[in-house]
Amino acid sequence: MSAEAADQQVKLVSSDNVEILTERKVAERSMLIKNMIEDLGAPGEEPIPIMNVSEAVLRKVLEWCTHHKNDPAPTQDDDADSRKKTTDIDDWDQKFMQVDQEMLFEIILAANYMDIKALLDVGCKTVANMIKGKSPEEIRKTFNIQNDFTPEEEEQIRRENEWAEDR
Amino acid sequence: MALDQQRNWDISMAQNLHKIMRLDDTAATTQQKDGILNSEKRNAEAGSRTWNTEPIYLPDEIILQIVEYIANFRPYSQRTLASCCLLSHQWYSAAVPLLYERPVLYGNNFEPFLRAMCPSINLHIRKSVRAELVKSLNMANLVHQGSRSLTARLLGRTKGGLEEFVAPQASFAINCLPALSKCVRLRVLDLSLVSESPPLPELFKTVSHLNELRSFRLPRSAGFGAHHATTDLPWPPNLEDLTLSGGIDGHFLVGVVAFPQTLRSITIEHCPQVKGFALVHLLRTAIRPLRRLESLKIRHMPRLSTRALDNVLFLLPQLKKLSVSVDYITPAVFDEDHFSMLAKEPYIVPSQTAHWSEAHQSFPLDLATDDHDHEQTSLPPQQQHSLRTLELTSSGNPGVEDKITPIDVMIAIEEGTLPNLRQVRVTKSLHWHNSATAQDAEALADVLQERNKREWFEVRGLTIPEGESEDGSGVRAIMEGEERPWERSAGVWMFDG
Repeated sequence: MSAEAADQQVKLVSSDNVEILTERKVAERSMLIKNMIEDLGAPGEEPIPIMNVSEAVLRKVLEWCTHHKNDPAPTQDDDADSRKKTTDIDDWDQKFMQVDQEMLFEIILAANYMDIKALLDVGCKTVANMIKGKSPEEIRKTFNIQNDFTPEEEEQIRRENEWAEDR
Repeated sequence: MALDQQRNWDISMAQNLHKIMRLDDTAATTQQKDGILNSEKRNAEAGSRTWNTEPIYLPDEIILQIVEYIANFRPYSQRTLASCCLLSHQWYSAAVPLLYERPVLYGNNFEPFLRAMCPSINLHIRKSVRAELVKSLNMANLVHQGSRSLTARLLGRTKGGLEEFVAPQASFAINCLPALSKCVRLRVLDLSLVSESPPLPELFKTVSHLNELRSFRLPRSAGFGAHHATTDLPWPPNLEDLTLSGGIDGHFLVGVVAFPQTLRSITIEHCPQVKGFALVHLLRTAIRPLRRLESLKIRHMPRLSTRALDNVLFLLPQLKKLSVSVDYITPAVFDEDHFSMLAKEPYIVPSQTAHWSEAHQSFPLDLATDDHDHEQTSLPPQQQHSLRTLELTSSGNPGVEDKITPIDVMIAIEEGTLPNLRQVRVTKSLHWHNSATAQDAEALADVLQERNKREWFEVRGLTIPEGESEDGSGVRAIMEGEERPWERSAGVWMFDG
């Protein structure tokens, strides 16, 4: 990318039709946007629609992208195993993820849709860390998860997995 | 809390109608109260912003990713995974395979686990599909729980997916073998705890069908007795890693047994009856011909003398990694004399290769042709020792700390007997980090790194930049990060144990 291209601004449009101007380099943390820019050919002129992401979430995601704009690009065959081994999250990301549950899920969904692998990882790790050691009831409350089991089903699962409840 | 009410309600179904209605009412009010609390709390969290309060749907692949992170909280992930199974159908599907993949079993949860694996017909529970999810079954922590027939049953239920099995001490016997022979995906079989081994010919017959088996630890009670023609033992066709311990007897050790050429790594430990000459004979006749062998570990052999293994490097020039207790070696292990002998002695003794011919058919093609070429003529003697990693351990004999010093290793490097040596790992109980030897150890680390650096530049066709000064980082703890690549793979490490 030339110096000129790096300073280039691109225009994103959120699902609620708000235009957000941002640096191309920041926006290209999203593989979705990167591919779109490449396809469009003339960036900066045409606005890029981010169909599934509302303004508030998009701004939050771009905040993350701005902080991480100089991170090394993920390699194609970034071995998934080493990435999954650690649930450590760096301090800035931890602070960034201190949002309410719905925003957290929205960020994860946006990262998934916009194809920002590193942000998706951080989001999933955050959820995993919040789940750690909690009872099913606590988890459902924290994340607004609907229990769709019948009492009989639930009792059976509880019985089957009884061996795992100790530790 | 609401759930508990639900459960109570469930249990009290059989009770009279009034009571049910009353409980139901209570449950409903509690739930309502909870609901109000929840929305209040959420509003407080969300601040002035208003978010859609409908539950947000996460796609399966994201839930799977979250659950995979949770599974990495081992060994305490089990309970959390069980909680995830209870959240909803979607979470259940994601979490249940991980919960059952490698169950952590100990005394108290073995019975309930067994019930989950082999549900009784009387309880009208469908056949357990969860048994097929088990990939690793470690029964090492079970002593008095279970029985031989239960172990056999458990193996039978889990045979579809099982890749690793660690047998329990007391409840593994010949009746487990039929089920074991059907675990066709088994890669690791650890029988080292088994105190009463099934007869070896039967055991070997069973494991010889396991094509995926890579790592095999024989029972500590293994009776390689004179009653069996040990040369005819059929080995698993792709075995790479073998551990012998305990009651292996003289017959085995005088080299009557034939090891498969597929082996890359051998460990011999905790053999109270083995004498030095027998072990050396085994190294010479059965282990020396193994051309793919890279790693050998010997420790805790109480009957070995203080210099019993001085020949080990010279006998096994193919070794890339040697782990040995200093109890059984002296600095003579590095002697040049040994290596001049090495040049004279043919690497492969033809008579020893004779009985491999049958097994050759299952070898990868390159090795098979290689063997064929050299079947009658021995390999040219190896001039350079391959050793890259030397690990010094202690088997607990008193006064062994000074037997091998950093200086001894340094001399060996300077004399050129171990040109490929890059890593020296030393157990902390040998006190290399003490003030008396710490400096020497650092000097050794420098020598190793210097060699690695030279190699690093040579391999890349580069010249070493002038003025590159060593900062004498020397001895470092494992896991410490360095910027210079040659420092990562060379040096002196101290480890616990």
